[in-house]
Amino acid sequence: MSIIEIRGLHKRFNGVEAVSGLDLDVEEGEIYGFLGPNGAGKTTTIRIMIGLIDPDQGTVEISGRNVREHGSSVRREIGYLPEKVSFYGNLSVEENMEFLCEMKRCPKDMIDGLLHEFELEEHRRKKSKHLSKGMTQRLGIAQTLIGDPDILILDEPTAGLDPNIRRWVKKKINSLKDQGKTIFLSSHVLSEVQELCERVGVLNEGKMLAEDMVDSLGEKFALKDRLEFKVEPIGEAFDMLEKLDYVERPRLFKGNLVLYCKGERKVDVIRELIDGGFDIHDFHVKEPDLEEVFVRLTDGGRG
Amino acid sequence: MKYLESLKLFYSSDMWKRIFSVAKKEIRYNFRNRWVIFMTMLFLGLSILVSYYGTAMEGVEGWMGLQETVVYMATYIEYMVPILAVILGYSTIVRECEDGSMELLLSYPVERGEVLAGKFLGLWIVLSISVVVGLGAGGFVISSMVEDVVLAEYYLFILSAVILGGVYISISMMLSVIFTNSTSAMSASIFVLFLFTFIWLFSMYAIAEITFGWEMVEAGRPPQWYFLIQLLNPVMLWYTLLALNIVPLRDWALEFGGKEPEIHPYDTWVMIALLIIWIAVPLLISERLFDKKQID
Repeated sequence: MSIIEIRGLHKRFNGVEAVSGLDLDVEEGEIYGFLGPNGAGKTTTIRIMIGLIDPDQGTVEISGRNVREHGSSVRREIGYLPEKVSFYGNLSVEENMEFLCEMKRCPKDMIDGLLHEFELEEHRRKKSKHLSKGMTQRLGIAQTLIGDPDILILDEPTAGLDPNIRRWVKKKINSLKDQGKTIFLSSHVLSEVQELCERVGVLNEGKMLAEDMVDSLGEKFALKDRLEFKVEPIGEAFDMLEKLDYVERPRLFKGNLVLYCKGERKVDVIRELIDGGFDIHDFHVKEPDLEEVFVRLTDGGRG
Repeated sequence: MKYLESLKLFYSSDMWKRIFSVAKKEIRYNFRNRWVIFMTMLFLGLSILVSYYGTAMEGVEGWMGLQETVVYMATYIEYMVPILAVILGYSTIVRECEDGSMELLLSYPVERGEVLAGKFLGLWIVLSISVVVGLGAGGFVISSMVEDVVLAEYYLFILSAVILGGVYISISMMLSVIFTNSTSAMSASIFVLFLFTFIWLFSMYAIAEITFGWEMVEAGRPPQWYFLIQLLNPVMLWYTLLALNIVPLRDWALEFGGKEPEIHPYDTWVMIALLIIWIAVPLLISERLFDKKQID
């Protein structure tokens, strides 16, 4: 069942189409990756979903209710992390959380639990303007859970964070998924989306270019595995493999033999090398990832 | 009793709870603003200084009564209260839009009108407390030093300053909604501050000079429309409100060519009503504009 349903969404800013005829469905309980380069229209789409911006055309329904008509009640069921999350600098961590709790009319006793869960307990009296970027982001995610909403919308949750905090945030997102939350995650970090999401939509220039399960996207775009061998004698191995019709783009690179083939044929390549009496000292297989899909769908097609 | 019950029910609705929460947040936030503390101290210090040294230039030193203090204080309050109101109001929307906290707040189940109402209420309470504490403490010190204390007129003076502050909070909040960066909102608020004081005075002088001659004003006989134009200026409304009710100020106004207030087609309540309109209209415009404002 679709918990988020977007149909025919259009939004223009100063004559530029930021979102153009977007259709999108997010199923209950999944982590949906909303992928696209900067300026693709991701944040605009999210702001329309929250009700911060009105669309020129189209509808957004969350839990079966139209956001434009039932904005306030829809927002009660959503936890939102903006791309640039900011709190009231002169208020402490605890006071900020109290205020946001009051906005959702939910009991303040949940604040202790959230601050504990997000390792902010010892900073609860600190003014939010004195928090580090990592702590602010942790507080940002903590506030999305005020009122225990079923849907979380996270806009670039790891942007600008150091690797340790990024890892911590990813772990937390996974644990939220385990709690049964539906998570709509916008990002331009491909590895992150690949690691966290089950399904992904690729947006560019306001248009949905592709939407599928993460694993299926590679197959859909007939992407090839990249094989890299340290093999001897390398010249003869190259000559032999070049003749195989399922091998693509063989080349010598930094003393290694590099080639591309479909995932199911890589065993055949290895077998050919062994049967041919070549010495394989080492090899690497790199499966197609979202980066390739992304590049192909966006700028790569032209480049 | 039934009326009280339904009133209680009305104010305990979710809408009012959210408005009060926003107001509470503004109060908490702004009382940590050093400018608010500074201005409160300034109100206190100035009222005492004016009362003691106000007539020093005339060679008289010593405590003035509260009524006379008001006459001298009015000139300062005309600027200080609007300045405090502008400090509180100009950034309240635009800065939160700039730093992203408004985006977060509006992602919660709160209506934009509730945010505006809560902000206005909170800021007005902050200004009121600052004015009442500053001028009130000053008045307390003065009244303990002089005989024949007339408190009613001093209370009215404080109340009128609070109303004037409300007008400027409302206007600067409107500008905070209109502009997309805080520097522009601040510049526009400062312009409005000057518009209703210096610019207005010089313009009115020029209009009088060009149309019927300044000597008619000095003689206290300018045409009626000249007074009616003044109703467009909240500072002039405030001054008229004071002049209608505070005897030494009226005498002072008459001495400088003012017109006897009783013969004007308006009175205290009309002045208060017009000042309230000056609060309500910018707020209504803000509500309309804020509802359409793109938060990005």
